[in-house]
Amino acid sequence: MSYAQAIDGLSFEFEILGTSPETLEKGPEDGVYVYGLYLEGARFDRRTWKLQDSEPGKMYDLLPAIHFKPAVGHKQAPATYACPVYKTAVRKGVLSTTGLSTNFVVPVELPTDKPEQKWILAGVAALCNLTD
Amino acid sequence: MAVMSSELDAMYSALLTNRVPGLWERVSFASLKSLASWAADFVNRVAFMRSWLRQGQPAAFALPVFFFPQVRYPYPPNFISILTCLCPVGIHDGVVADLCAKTPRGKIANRSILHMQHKYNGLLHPCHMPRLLMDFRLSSRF
Repeated sequence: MSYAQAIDGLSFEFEILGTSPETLEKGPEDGVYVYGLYLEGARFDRRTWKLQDSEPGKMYDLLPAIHFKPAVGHKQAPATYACPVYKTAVRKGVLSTTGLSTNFVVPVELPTDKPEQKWILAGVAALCNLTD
Repeated sequence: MAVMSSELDAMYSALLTNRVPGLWERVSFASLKSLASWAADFVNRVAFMRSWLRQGQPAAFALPVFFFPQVRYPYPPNFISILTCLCPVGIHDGVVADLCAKTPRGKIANRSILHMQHKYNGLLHPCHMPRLLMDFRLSSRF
């Protein structure tokens, strides 16, 4: 579908989906459904649908499928944490020509009822690959 | 007489200790996994791409499957422009057949791949499939 929008004005809005990726039958009208991200340093509470502290002994938590929706001039939604997505658990990479780390993918906004600083201090991030 | 090069020797010891050999890592997706998990992950990635090829666009995408191969290609620079939109290290024959069947402008895809295989003698290395497939989707629109 074409909207004739300038590509540099586009960013993503995020919606956490309640269904598992296998049960999704059709893609969204705009954007994509994405899955396979692991949360490190926190967990995503399936009851309150918000970020919570990790449970004892559980290092990682698989995030539900997320709808990446393209949006024009999107600002970070209130009561969310802009969670960085990294490819591997080292998190560091080398600076690429885009000015971002080669290990960094995209920030994903996760709903939270706690101040964002809490999660920043805890270094909460989503990972594409676990080290196992 | 040197029986094994140092690279081959390093690969051998990596295989023994369940690490991904450096030679493979250079063209691989970013990963900290041990060799066994890496191989399982790799198979999963290929399976995702294969189901995309055979059954059409999936409803949801596994984000970790996509990666940009940030490697220095050990190939002549004048060839890189063609190769970066194809695949720098050759691909599996079965996949080539799939691609040709699915690409609307199959003839062009066919020819480029043949050219590539001729140039590199069909060297087997499916590491760059995701990138390859994405580019094929792009090129099929023009």
